[in-house]
Amino acid sequence: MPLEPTLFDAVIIGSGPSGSFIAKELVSAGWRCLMLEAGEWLDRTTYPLDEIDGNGRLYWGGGIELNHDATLGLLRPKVVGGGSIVNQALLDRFDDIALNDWQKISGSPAFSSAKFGPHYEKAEGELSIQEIPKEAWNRNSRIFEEGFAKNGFKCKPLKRGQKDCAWSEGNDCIECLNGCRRDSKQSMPVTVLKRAIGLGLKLIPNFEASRIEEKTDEIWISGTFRDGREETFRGRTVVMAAGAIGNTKLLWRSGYHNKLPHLGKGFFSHPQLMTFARYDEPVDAFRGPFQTLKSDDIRFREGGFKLENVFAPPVGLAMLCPYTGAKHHEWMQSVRNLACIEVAIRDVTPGQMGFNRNGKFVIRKGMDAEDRKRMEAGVKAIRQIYESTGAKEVWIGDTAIGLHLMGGCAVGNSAADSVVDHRFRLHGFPRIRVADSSVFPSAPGINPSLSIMAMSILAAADWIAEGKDVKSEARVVAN
Amino acid sequence: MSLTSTQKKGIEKLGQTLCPGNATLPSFASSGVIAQADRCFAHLTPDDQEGLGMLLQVLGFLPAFFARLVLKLAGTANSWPAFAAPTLRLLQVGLKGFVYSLYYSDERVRSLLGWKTSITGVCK
Repeated sequence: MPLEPTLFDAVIIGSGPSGSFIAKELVSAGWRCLMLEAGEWLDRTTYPLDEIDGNGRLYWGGGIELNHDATLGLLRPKVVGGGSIVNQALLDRFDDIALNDWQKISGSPAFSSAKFGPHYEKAEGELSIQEIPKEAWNRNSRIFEEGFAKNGFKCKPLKRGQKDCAWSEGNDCIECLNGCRRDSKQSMPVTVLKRAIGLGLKLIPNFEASRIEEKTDEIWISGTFRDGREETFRGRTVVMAAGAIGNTKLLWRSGYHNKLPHLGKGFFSHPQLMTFARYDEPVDAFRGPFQTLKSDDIRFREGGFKLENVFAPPVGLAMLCPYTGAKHHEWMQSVRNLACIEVAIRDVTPGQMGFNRNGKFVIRKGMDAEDRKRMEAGVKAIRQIYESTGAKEVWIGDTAIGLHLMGGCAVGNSAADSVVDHRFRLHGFPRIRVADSSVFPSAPGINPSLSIMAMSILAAADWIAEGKDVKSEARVVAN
Repeated sequence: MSLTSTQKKGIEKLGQTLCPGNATLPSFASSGVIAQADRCFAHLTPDDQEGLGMLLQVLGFLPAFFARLVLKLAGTANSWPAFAAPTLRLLQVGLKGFVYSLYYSDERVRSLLGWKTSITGVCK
């Protein structure tokens, strides 16, 4: 297998929010960094224009991956920019409930509002973050707000990474689920990753890393390009930023499951159900900014669920439609009159990932009684919202989807209970670092993107402080 | 990787069951979306291509009744015991996903649903 001659200070695997923020921090500090990404490097001129290519080119598994018994669909982005390309750029800070829980589980004092605060500020400073003004809301948002008010629930606007969306010109955010063709969405390639590349980051797309191997003074990262070419890259350190599934797979293939028994354990996904209600008058939930509000009610938080208004494009809707044949068509033709609310739970049932004896990667993840109770409580609140706002018919989906893939490389005190130490390095293997959603020790129950960014900044600062000598040594070898 | 004509017949049989058409919407067969089948198939993983390809080949040979039967069975996944339910659910997601991706990605079908979305200021 060809060996890349340059020895990098850090090879970063994955180009989503964690990889991008870490890259920017490291190259700003003078590190020579290489980023490897399995997906394509697309931009506003090349993002897919329909759902066939959108699902097929931007996600692993041709659009969706399933858990062990096919009861949970998992959406895992595969593109330069990762989740920031396909998500709705929802940027929430974690609350004390989430951070205190993490501190308790992991033993790390870093997980507190006081410690995270400056890193949140730094992450927020890299992006344009806005709330959707009320005059731009579609009727789905207004139904959501009205239903909350009528039932005594509290909600508030979502904070989104965006700028110049110009809804008054007729722009519909649902068009940007396959990548924003206006560059309004604050995805990594138009913000932090772009700056990192400007500072010297080398980015290689279409390369799937399949093995990491520690040598005496360096780490080799081997894999395959999309066209079948094999290559090995070299780094003084490696940063795993391929997410819960990607990191677990790569570490497992590289044999670390034998040394770190907690690898692959503690997988969470905030399982969500999409619900629909039909109204007499058009709702046009897919027009304008289609995701604007979230629940902000302590009863919901303590009940382990959150609600948001949302919608899906036609192929997604068809998959969620409860009918087939003629009735299916009838339901799809009512699309303009459908409102939609999603319930996502803060799941407490940990899943487990790993390769089985047949060499197949399996994600064992279910929902226990507590998870089901949380989901039912959310569904009950949604029914109240729909019924109080004049819905004629309500459908509760039965297909749970996991959009926030977390855990598998949990942070903690020792290898007996976790994979990563308090400085975001593998227990016993300090040159292998991880600071993305895979280190989450539990499900926070909050949109995780902003906290992944903040945690990545925190981790990178520590590595920079620790690695000043490493960096200069690497330079000498590389030159 | 291209689908054989028999495999495409299998897709059309599934498509006609899932999307028979009505006074407004075209049937799967008359929509012309089968022309996109190879593009859609190319996005699947090699394992999925192999499994789906075999099933489509069989369904392509058999009468349409069998396609309806497979979909009906897959639709009852939740009432089967654990040894069979995951396979049936997988079938349901895979077959519906493939057919609906073809049908509802089509601009004409979306327009007939009343699905109108736009974005300005984009690069062509």
